[in-house]
Amino acid sequence: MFARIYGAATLGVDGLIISVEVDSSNGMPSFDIVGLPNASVRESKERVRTAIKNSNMLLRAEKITINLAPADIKKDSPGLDLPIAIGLLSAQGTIPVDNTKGCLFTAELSLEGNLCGVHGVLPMVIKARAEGFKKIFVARENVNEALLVEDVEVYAPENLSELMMFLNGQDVLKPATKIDTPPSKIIALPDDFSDVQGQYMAKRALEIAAAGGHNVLMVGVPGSGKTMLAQRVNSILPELTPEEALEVTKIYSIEGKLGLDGGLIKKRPFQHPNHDASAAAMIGGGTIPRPGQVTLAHHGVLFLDEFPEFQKSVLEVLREPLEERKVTISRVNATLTFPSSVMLICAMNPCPCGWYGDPKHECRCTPNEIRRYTRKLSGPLLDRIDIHIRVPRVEYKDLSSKRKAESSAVIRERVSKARNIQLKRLQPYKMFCNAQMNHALIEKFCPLTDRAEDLLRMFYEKKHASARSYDRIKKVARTIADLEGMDNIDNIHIGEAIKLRNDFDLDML
Amino acid sequence: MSQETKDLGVSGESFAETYLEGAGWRIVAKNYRIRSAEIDLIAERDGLIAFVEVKTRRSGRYGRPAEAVTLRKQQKIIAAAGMFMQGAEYMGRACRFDVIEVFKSNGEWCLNHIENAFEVH
Repeated sequence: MFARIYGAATLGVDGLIISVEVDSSNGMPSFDIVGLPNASVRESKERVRTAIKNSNMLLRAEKITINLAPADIKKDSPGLDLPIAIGLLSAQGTIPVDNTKGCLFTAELSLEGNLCGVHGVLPMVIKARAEGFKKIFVARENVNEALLVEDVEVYAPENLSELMMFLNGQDVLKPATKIDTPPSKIIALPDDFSDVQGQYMAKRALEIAAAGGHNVLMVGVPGSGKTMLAQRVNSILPELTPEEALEVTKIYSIEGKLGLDGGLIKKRPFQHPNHDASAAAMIGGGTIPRPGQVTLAHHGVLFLDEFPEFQKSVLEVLREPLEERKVTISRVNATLTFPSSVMLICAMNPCPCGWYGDPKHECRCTPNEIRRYTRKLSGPLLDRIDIHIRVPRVEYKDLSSKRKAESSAVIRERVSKARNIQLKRLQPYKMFCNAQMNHALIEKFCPLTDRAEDLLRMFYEKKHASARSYDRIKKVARTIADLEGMDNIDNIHIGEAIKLRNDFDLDML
Repeated sequence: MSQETKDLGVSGESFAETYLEGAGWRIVAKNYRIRSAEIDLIAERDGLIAFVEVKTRRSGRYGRPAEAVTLRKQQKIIAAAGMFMQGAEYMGRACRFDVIEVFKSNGEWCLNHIENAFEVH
């Protein structure tokens, strides 16, 4: 007999509904899975058969053919175990076919017959709702994640026999409700800006960057607090909006990186790849492309410490995601686009020994060494970074000062206020911060006062700046004006933006 | 192969045959042979065809009898079964592959019937 059951897999950051067709008929006993299963799906044959046997059900020895449609996409979800098992049982007449209408199954099976959680349940359920499925069957581990989607009934049977009883109408199964998990006992020390003494300039720059979502390059001597500052940027960023949170949670769901409670991610991601990262690790890759660091940092911060130590090729691949806010990975098997709207923060020393430009220490590098060190950072890449700042050594009086520096909460309030202004202004264009504005929008939303106009013209002519840097300066000035709640951009805003762009000029080296 | 071993195999097969008949099976063919492929017993019960490979051993010294039904042996049985199922009277019938292990020690016989022991790969 024939049966068709629906399961799901993931493709990129979206779910994909898989129709599992099972035919079981007389003939030489065999068990074949067709429709481009990968290793984990092909192995499901053994798991499913054993799970059914251990649930005290009998599978007749027949010629069994299973087709996974659409047949041209490689299936890589072990979550297809459950639909295959249900399909087999309905094809052999154990479950009435009508009882599985409008149902979607996604869970891995243990040999014992228990349902186990899988990755990517959130995008699968979102897709399932869009395609009109009413009942979703998942493992208990995935309940909270599946419940993030409204208007579907989520069921979480413990094991295969419980599910069988339900589908046969012998037993009732209540729709699952949110499972509360005990809060973790580990007390996380919150990173707060008040931990960093001094560095007023850098803090101001990071506040502006956070307010407008601008990219930042920090150049400074070793031990001046660049890493500490960057790690605290998250604490001054506003919480994710509900739509942003859903996007981020989808990505983490696919990567299997959701926490135990499987709820919505509210905190902005902070990705901090080591400098030996490969290009594929950075932007994503693999035969079926998987998201890389820029995607995992979506709507959050991507922090590249020791910026020039990264391979040049790795840095250059960042150009497209920084500009487009999405990254397209093309491989033979699939071309996928991942979102990558990140705030890039880079930190570096000015030279290999680290002390170039410090008033007290002597730099031991030759001009050639310094050139070689900074040459890795190409013009186009640096051009995409709106704010370049210098982070000098902290003075002793600042370090030992008893006066506590401003806390993150206070700064976050100002940042949120500025972000709200931008959100209101940019909502019609589906953008949410100044850094995303294109040239046309910059023209539209960055009205300069006459004084500001003069200043910008002077700078542009004197420095022979690029057209892109002209736009970038206006964007940063827009953010500074937003922080002050001003509609027009005045000369002090332009002045600060110019200063932030050129505080540390790499060409000086 | 010594004559003694051959005789052991033949008597093992007839022991399995008696057992199957006792269990309600009708023996359809014995030593069904197509070229180099052979099936020891083909039995039928309630419309189900069973292709049975009988393995007889005097001791466990060389592993369980069923382990001797190697992949290659299975493929031969499958090939022969395929030919057998082509016959008009059997086409489209349900079938399966069984292995019967027969032990003979100190003149005593015992038997282990493994139903659905393998399938077409």
